[in-house]
Amino acid sequence: MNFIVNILSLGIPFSVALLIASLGEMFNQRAGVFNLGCEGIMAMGAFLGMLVPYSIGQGGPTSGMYNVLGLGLAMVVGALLGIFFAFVVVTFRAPQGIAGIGLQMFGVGTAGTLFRHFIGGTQSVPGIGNFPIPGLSKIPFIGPIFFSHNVLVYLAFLFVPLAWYILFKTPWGLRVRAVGTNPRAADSIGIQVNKVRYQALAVGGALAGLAGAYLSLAQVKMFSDEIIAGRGFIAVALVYFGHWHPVKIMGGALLFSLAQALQLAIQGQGINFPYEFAVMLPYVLVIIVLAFSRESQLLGPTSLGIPFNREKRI
Amino acid sequence: MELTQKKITNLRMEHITKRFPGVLASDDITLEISEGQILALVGENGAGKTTLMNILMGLYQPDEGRILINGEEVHFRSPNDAFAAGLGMVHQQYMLVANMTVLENIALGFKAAWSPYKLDLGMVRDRITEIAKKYGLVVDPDAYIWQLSVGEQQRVELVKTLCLGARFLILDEPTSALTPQETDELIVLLKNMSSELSIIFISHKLQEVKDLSDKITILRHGAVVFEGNTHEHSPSDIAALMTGHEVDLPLNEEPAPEGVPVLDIKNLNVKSDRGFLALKDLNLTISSGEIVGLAGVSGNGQRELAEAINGLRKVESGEIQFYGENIANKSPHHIIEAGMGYIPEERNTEGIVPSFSLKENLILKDTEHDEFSNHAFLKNKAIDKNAEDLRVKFDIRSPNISIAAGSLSGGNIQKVILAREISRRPKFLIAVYPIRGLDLGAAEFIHKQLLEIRREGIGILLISEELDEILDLSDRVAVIFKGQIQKVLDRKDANRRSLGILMAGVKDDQTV
Repeated sequence: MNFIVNILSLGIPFSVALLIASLGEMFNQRAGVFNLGCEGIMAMGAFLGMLVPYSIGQGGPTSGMYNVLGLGLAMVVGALLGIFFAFVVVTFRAPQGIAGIGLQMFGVGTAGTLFRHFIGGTQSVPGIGNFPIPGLSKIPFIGPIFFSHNVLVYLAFLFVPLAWYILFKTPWGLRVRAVGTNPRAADSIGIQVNKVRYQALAVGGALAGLAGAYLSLAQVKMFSDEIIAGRGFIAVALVYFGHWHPVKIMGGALLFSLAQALQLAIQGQGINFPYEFAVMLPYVLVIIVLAFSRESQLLGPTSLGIPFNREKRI
Repeated sequence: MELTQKKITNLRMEHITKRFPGVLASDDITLEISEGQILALVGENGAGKTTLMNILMGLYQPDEGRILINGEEVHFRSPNDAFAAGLGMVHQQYMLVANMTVLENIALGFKAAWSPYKLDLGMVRDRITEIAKKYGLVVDPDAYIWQLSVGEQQRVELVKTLCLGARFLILDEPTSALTPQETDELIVLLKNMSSELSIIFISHKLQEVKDLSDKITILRHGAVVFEGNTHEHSPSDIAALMTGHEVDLPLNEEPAPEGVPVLDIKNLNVKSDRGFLALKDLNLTISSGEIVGLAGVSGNGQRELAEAINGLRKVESGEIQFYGENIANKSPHHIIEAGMGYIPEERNTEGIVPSFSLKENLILKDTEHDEFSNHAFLKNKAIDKNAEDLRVKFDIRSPNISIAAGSLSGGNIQKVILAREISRRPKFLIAVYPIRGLDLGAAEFIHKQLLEIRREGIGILLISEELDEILDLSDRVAVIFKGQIQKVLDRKDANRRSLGILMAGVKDDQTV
């Protein structure tokens, strides 16, 4: 029983970076743009998120305000990178896959370089501590699993219904879905397709930045070159896996993270099992699930990856 | 959205010119329409009708010329400006988002219902009810677009345009996807609406132009070649002006051939992309030397039937006997080698590889044959000669044989496909919508070719929605409805009315 509680209470915070990043990527893709540069934006977010509390609050106790500033900076730069990406793939209609890989390398490389310049070696920050919810966290089993995490964990799961509401119940969400599915129809009815795509990429970038900062401030509490470890790409895959729906995406993020918690627990138990295979487990799982999940053509953004050009004759 | 409620008593486009790379799409066009009038804009494909209307709607910017409403010049930089002035357009390809509901599609343009944090769908719903009552247009606001038939989608487009405040309607080929009955209903509806609105409608079907319009403007190669009052001219006058010469599409007037059954489909069951049965125990037999027309509204299993016969779609159960061999679930390669020719529905994506050259597209099915390949190498001289010969024989108009096939016009692409399929000397041919979207000249050529190979004893399955095409060419007509053959008629028993009723799903022993 304890083993299961451990896995669940470890897996839930693990899922947060994936969840936030993939909700952001969901807005990108719903608007018709996939951003493979998510990984790069997350790396920049991770570096900038810890830079603020590290450099300002160095030596003394880090106050919560510096953490908030760090998270804010990560989101602002993330949004700017999203807009930069939009400039390349929306305005100039560059192929999205290639441009995304470029952004990924740019983000990871820049974050690493700046890290060496401003911080240097391995430095940890106090980061964001846990905030067990009074009362609820004392409930056996439920408490440690759901109510003993840092604030961002609770916030991330509140994002799920919020993202659902924005996507399906607001005029902006309606516009996002329309430009990702039939941009010509949206255009013919007076929606500015490219403007909506810029907005969606800015939102997606901000969330990717936040996801990166979560890793460096709340999960690992330090920065390293490998901190993102492919989570940006996993986030992109989770959006397909979750059929562009916030709740299903959350399911995917949890599945992956619980698998990761499981493999850590297996290693921790000292079970005689090659750890290389244990580390592979979550990734293999995602590949298997993706391979067997049927693409839902009726619901997804059917113009995903196609730049919009009004005067291109059909 | 600021809506001016002012009536549009007069709309005038003056000296409109629009150039696309390599094409003069609109050449100094002037046209005028007054309140309560219906103007038919007529011309062949590529004559520039849609381009002109897209300019009027602010989707394209004209290079020269101006637009006047009630005598005042207006500038439409986007469709929003055109809506605000009271213009609305129903495009030929419906501008609907398939994975959203009718309500959401209309809300997308209904800016009064947009508050920053909430979409007021109730307000949109009220507006739809109001419009539905006023014009007798019934739609289900909560249906998803992908669940609707083409006719229903068009009604949604009309409701949408009216909900957004249009007092001037532009309809781009409104009947191109409708059944004859739906077309009649639409014409009655539009006639009633014209008491309150002005309408421009684009068409190349002459009958409905005669039925509906007050005035007619004919475009050819982007320029106005004729303007006048509809009632003063006969359909054949209009046809001659449209094409520049008199066109008579060829007719199959020969006696029914005495062939032997070569394609025999028994109890065929095939699933659609969405997973339900698109063909249910379908039976059909076609003999050598006859053309069987498959009539039906698209979406009743035509695509699935063509794909199943050609090995492109899994057959759940049943047999397809082709010259004595069951080819159900055989590979496309096997079926091609068995002598099946195929003119697919989507000529640009299934019929050719658009980025390949003309000459390469002509040998796509024969790359392994000795005629064009020598072990691992292509025989370029033979390929060039083949392409030059076919280009002359099939009148493919292209600057050379190395040009990318995708850059040719629709009619020429269709000729490339036809040339490839016929020159391979097939034993049977399946032609799906062979003249859809083509102008009369290209259609005439393709029909002549089909009749020619029929005379050589090749059986043809002709799948089409155009009843005229089916009636012109077929020896027998089979009507498909919901995945089954409703009835097979001899040519002498088939006419527009009998087929229209069968296509709508009514068996002939029932009264309409």
